[in-house]
Amino acid sequence: MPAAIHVSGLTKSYRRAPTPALLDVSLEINAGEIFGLIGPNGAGKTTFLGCLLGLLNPTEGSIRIDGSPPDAMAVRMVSGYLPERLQFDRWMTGRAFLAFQHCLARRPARDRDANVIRGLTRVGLEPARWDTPVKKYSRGMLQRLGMAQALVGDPKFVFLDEPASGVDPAGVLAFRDILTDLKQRGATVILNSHQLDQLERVCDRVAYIEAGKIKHVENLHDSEQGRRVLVVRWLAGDSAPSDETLATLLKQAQAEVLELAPGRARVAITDDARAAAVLRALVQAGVPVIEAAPELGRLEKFFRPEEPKAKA
Amino acid sequence: MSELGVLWALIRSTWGERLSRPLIGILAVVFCASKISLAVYSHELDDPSLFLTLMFAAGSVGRDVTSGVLPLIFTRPVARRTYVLAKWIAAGAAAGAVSALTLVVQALLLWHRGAPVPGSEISAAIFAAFTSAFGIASVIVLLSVLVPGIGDMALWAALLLIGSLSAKVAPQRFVQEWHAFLEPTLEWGAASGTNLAGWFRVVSYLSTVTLCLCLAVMAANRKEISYAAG
Repeated sequence: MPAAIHVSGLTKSYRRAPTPALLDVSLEINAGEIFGLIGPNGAGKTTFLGCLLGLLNPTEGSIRIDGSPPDAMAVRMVSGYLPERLQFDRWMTGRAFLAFQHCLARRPARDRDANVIRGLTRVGLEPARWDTPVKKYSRGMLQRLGMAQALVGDPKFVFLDEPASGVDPAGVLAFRDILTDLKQRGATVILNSHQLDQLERVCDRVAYIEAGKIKHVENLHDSEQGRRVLVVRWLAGDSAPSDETLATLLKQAQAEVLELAPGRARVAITDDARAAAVLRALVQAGVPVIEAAPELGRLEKFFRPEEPKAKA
Repeated sequence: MSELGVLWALIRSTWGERLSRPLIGILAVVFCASKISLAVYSHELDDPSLFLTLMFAAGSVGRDVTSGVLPLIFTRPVARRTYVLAKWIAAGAAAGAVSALTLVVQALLLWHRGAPVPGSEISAAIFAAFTSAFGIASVIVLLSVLVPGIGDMALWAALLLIGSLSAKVAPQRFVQEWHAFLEPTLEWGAASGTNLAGWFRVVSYLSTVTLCLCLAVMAANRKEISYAAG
């Protein structure tokens, strides 16, 4: 997959800050990738996003998006941005605000009405509120409108800063669908969020930033140190085999049983083939499997304090 | 969508933002009414453009910075010069138009009271009001790029005060130029004249406005926009 965003030796210092907000950050983000940014507060994620958007000037280093600097008009023509602390021209209605953004994005005026309606519908904003002034919108509605403006003109690059902040569960699901849609369309998405489970569900890779440096880039499609955890659920009851039988079946499928409870098992596997073998073994043994999914929580390790090493 | 289309959208959005603030509307109406009353009393046209421009232009850019709407605009394919020009045109045109309307009402009332003002004098007053509005707006927009919120008004007032206080120690010409820079305006007599002094006034006015706008665009281009920068 070709790299769409190149960051090389990026350092950003603020005048009155004792240490740089970003220090020698180098990174490549592939075209069509959903790339997550995580890290503790003040780690430099928002500064990194600001530099990618061309709103902040790097002190050192360079950024190229599609081969151009981030503040190039060619890049802005194909970019969308949802800021964390979303602010609007609060006197405008939702529809007028989106039409204004459509105009600023230099999209053809003839498509404006149709695109605005499509955008408002896409984020699930109730039609009855389209012509209400934005100042009367709830936090969740503002976030939906913010997402709609970020998607104006079907951008090739989408920068999202805490997109699901303040959004209800239905909104979170809608946003996840939008991200999936963006991925299918081939858009490159940079997603800054503290919601680790959401990131795990949608991202291809996630960078962990701490103290202005990228400490680790996690590829969520790779197995972790040769193994990952699969959670399998089945209908518990008289028809289900005994625990001993299940344990034997799972071991035969080369899975390590981590936990076995009525109707549920956590097993460690090495790859997708082992996952398929586990499911096949269970189904062939007549276990009424209802769900199998990778266990989330893979990104949590970055935020857990390191366990003290055992004394020799 | 052309550059002009974007410019027009930004101008309309600026007007909309100003009109959405009832205080600005109330102050404008009260001030224009008082100017009309004074004109009727003194039998002379009284130009309200200075106050109106300050009111319409105050915080043009600074408010967008403080409220946080600027990142959304500056991540769009909008040249920062277009944004600065839109703020200037929006403030200058609104202040000029309301000033012109006030002057016309003054002239009508004076005519009604038997003290008609010659058409040439009305035209000259409207011309001066527009040049004053666009001139002062260019200064305020420059200051607004430099300081957040409505700090531009405080800065403009402070600079004006410095000019007045320096009258005791600085040459009179310096003080005149200082005030001319902060309140650029052009009389119709100077603009339409063919003598050297007239040309000097025209060039001086245009160069002040151009300089302010160029500096404002330069400052806007260098400006870093992010709450992370704070």
